[in-house]
Amino acid sequence: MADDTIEMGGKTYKPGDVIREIDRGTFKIRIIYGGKIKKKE
Amino acid sequence: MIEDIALHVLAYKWDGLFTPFSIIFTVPAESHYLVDITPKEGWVYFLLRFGGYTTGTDVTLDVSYKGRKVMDTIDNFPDVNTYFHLPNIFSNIFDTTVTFDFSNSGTDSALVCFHGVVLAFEEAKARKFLEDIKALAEIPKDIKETNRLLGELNDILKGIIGRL
Repeated sequence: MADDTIEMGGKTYKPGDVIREIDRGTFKIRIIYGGKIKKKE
Repeated sequence: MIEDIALHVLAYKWDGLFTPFSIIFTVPAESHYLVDITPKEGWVYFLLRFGGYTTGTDVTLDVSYKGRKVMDTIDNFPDVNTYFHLPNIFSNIFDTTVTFDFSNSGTDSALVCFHGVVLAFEEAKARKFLEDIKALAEIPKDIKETNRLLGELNDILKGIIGRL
């Protein structure tokens, strides 16, 4: 597994992957894995 | 300052739809989680309020729109029952995605509950709604127009009450 991926519920997510999408009629909500926090040099 | 009742009546006048949302998710240690809120085609929205809580102590939140932050970073996402209000909510009419970036710098994962209220309009009606909001907010500048609008709001209210 690459450093910047996570595993949840048997699935592997990389940054930018949509974890969940919710339709609320006039708008939609997406929950997205954003990746690891970049450490400051 | 627009009173809540005026806000609701004006939203009713222009067919605005109030929609609450509430989501719960786990942000892994030292990671970002993004929550995107995107209007459907032909719709725009105002974010009336949002808030939430987290089990973590190192969770921060950045809110951005079209690549720009719309408010200062919220450090240590608050405890339950604490709400943040976007500054000048009616100067922020969103016609595309608003991104909420939850950042957990802790070494443990953190549970986050995030909730809020969206007020959505069809695009043309949102502009009319804003004109009314501005007319109400500028009472000293144009008392005649404001009185006309208040009279109209009163009639709408009477209509609503009459149907109850």
